[in-house]
Amino acid sequence: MEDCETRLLKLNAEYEEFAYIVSHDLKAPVRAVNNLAAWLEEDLAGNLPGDSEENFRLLRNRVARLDKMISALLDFSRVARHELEISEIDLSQKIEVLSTSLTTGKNIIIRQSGQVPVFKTYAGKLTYVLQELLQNAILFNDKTQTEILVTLQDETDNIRIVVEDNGPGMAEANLPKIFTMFYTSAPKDTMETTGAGLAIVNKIVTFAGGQIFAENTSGGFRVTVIWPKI
Amino acid sequence: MKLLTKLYLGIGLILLVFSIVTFSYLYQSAKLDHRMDKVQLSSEVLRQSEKMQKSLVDMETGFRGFLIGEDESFLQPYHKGHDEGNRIYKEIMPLLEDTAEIRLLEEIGRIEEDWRDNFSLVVIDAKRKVIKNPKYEADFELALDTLVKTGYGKMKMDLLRRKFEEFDRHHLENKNEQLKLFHQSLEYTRIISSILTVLAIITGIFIAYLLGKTVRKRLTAMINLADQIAKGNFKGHLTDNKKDEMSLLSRSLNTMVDKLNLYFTNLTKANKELDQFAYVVSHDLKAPLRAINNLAEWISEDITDKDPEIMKKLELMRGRVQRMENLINGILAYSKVGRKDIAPETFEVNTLLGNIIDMLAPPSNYQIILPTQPLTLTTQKIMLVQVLSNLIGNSFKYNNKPDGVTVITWREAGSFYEFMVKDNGPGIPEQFHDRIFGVFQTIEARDTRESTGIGLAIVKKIIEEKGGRIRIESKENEFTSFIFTWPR
Repeated sequence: MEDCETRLLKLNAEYEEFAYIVSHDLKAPVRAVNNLAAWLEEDLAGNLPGDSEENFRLLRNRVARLDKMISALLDFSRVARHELEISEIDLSQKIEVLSTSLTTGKNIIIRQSGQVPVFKTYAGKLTYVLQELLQNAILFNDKTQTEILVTLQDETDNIRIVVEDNGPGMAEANLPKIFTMFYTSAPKDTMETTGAGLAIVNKIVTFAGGQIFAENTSGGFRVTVIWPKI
Repeated sequence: MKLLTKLYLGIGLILLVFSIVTFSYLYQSAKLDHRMDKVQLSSEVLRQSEKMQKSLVDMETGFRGFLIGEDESFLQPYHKGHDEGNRIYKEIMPLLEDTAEIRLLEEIGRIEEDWRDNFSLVVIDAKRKVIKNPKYEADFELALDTLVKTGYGKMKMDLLRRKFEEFDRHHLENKNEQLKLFHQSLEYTRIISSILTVLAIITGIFIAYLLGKTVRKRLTAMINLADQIAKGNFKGHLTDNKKDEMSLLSRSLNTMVDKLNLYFTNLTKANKELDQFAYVVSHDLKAPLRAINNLAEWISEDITDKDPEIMKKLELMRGRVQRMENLINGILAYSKVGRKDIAPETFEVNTLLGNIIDMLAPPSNYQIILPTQPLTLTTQKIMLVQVLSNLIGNSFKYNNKPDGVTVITWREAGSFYEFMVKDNGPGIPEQFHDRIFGVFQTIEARDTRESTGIGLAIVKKIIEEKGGRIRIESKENEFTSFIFTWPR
């Protein structure tokens, strides 16, 4: 039994270490390629042959994409190691702040319903989760008027946070995949996402001891987070 | 009921039955003793009655002697016989229980009294007078005529003898009766003792069986469960509806199994997740990497400027892209270990080693010594190739001696073959012995060699997947030995 437990702990550690090492080891050559490409472009400025200009642009685009993916991996591996401070969080206020920063200049309405008391938790992590969920709801929305409703509900041991939008939702078949790393429903070229956000959100919620699930609604998409009170 | 209570009750019951056996045996033997006493008493009574008869004979003899010898001294046995008879009478009387016998003895006493008072003493008195004074001869003659010659004395004596005979016969009958009863009692005691002993044994066996039955079945179930756990099957469960200590144990065992199962499931899940994660990650990272690779290629093809500075940068860039590719391929290979089922093949190890060395292409001056004796193995060939090629490749890749050499040997070790790949390279400092098997661990600076550091991690993963072990023996600047076991 103890052996099992230590092995589990070791395996988890290995997991974290793995992701960390992968991202760290990969970062160096990515940065090097990026730099070298930039220098080459500079050196050859003005006499770039044929499609080279376009190729350089694509190259830097791909490098940036790889860099993003690696950063996401780093974030993912850091979930259990970083931002472990526990502090009070006022959810309504936090959502208010996030809404203001996310809705600038666009046709977006974020509404709130329900009230929960101020409570202590991994405030930084919960903020990340909220931001990611709101960002996704905005990013994938295809309506001229984006509408998001955040419902807060105080349960005995948990806080229930429901984020509903009027977006296109998700094909039922793909629903189980949305929390896996680098999965994204959008074509990889059109969107500036790596598909890591929800994987990290899922890892954070699981780390905090909560649950997360997503479903399609009649007019959009709904993600429910059950976040434990400490 | 609690198991201990049952146990106490069972043993108590057996003890109780045995106590009854002992008690009844004691009771019966006391009864036997009593019977025995009675039989002995009867013998004593008969002996005394014989003595009493003898005393009567003595009296009669003395009496007759006196009449003939006319001397007082002849009367001595007469008196003695009388006293003896009286003594015995008093002795026997309290010993008798039978009323008929008592009546007979009383009669005997009365007749003796009668014979003495009304016959012998009268005759003796008359005789004494004659001895003193012959003039009383007539009186004596009269007494003789009326008492002796009429046969009165003889009649009384005969009566006495008959009474004694009757008494003896009666008493003998009694004695035989007692003896019969004694033997009956003995038989009875034997039967009762035997029956009770058998009963006690049966009760004991029955209780032992009952106790055993309550315990055995459940114990067997527990042993089976423990065996299952030992085999790594954590799905088993015990059902126990009783309410005793063993039920508690069963419940504890069930909890243990559940916990083990949970841990095991978590472990398996975590393991799978890690592999899955590594696979997905490396797979997903490959797409942009491929694009980068292609783009870098196209760019360098398109660039006509042969400026050495630009050429160098292009070269460097492609080198970095290559490195990323190596890294990601390494992760992919690592995550693939144990993912697919590979069919075992039969092959000759030295031939395999030859192929591996050809493939690795060591420097021409580097010497690799193969095992002397041939060995044919049936196993997953690709796995062993991966392990050996990594170890052999490392052995010459890092070798720093001008006369570099790698020696490969094997030996049997129980159900395993133990392989050793030993080189005379720089050695590995002790503090790195654990770390070198980690993912991406390489001792040298990352840019100096084309190594990703994932090779040994894959080697270790493969060997452990096969149930073997790997260890290092090394002395700095002298040698490094990688020793691993591979199942037969």
